[in-house]
Amino acid sequence: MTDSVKTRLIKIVSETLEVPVEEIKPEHRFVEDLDAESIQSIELMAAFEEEFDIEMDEDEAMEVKTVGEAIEFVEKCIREQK
Amino acid sequence: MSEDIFTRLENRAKEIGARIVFPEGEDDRILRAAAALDKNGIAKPIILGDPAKIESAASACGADISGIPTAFPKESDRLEEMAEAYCAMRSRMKEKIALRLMKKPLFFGAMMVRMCEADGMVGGASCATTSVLQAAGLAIGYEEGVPCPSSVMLMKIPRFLGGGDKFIAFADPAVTVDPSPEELAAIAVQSGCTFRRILGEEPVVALLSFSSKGSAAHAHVDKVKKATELARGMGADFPIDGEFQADAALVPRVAARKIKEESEVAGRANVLVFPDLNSANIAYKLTQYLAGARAIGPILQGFRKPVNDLSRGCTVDDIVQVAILTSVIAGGAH
Repeated sequence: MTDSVKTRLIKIVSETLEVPVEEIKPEHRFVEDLDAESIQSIELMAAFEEEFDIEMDEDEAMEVKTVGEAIEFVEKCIREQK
Repeated sequence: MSEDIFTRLENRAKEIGARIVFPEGEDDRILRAAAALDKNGIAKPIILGDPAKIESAASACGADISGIPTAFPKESDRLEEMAEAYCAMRSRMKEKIALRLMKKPLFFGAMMVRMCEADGMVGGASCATTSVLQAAGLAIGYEEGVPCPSSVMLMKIPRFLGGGDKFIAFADPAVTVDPSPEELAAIAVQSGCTFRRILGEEPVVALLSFSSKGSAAHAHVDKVKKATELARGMGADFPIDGEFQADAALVPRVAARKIKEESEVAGRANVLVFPDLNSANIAYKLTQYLAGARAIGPILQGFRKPVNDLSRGCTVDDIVQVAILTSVIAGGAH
């Protein structure tokens, strides 16, 4: 988990879900802990794609439930697509 | 009802002439279905996808799509206008991110429906149901007072109670796992509306439980009672009642013995609202295989405009049928 991806991703989550950066932890689940609407995950995914200039597979992205899993998934996409 | 349901619905779809957008236009099954809909004048398909891939898939499967409008979401000159319209609906949405979303065919298709450039959308041949529900929920939105999308399955029951065939709707067998009383009430009203739109028959809606009008006491019964009360207050112009056991809802003889109060629904129901997805899904599959009933659906409901989902294993005929159902819903009440 690289720090720059983690920091940038948490900033996006914070802006999208209006939760202060310092309250977002990798173990937090988007829907249950951070109050994301379940239909909002696609918007978060598009925000990650825009920030990191990657394309994410929707089916794989749907499996992501926590902030930590999102960081790992984004890092995997960056590795595969750069 | 001697005429096959789909012959009747197909004729109605032809009268309506709905514009149906297919976001997965690079799939040969979609192209063959679109060609059939267009050729037979059933609907006006719109195909989304990369034009080169559409062309090569169409020629490989022999689908004649000449004359069918296509659009390539990734390079469309409509993206900015759509992104702007999307940002206006979603607070805190940034235009750059909205642009990313609009490039996704499901969102592009849903925005076409939202912006009245298509009358309905049929997707899901190569993506998860959740993706279809998200795109429709975010870009098209829910009908007023509807808290969540849901689904209904139309079951054609052969020789119902020893008489002729009868259509009975089962809700919700596919979308909302454990609806709250508010959600269940909305599902009841929506299912009645869907039943009427598709069949042109008057809905009689029963909310089901293992209790009939207080014959058992449990939190699960209380949920259905509360949902019944809420649904009856939602101003539907068809009868809604509960809580009933399935036999009290369907069989006049049983209703006469079990239901002691006045009810327009007991023994006459043709729309069955189950307390959760578990019971609805199990019930429709049992009815399908044990009673030899034909299952039509699941038909999505609750969105402002019609959207329907395909299974990944769908055939060309399945796609045509879902497009017909979507057109009929787009056409409104009979």
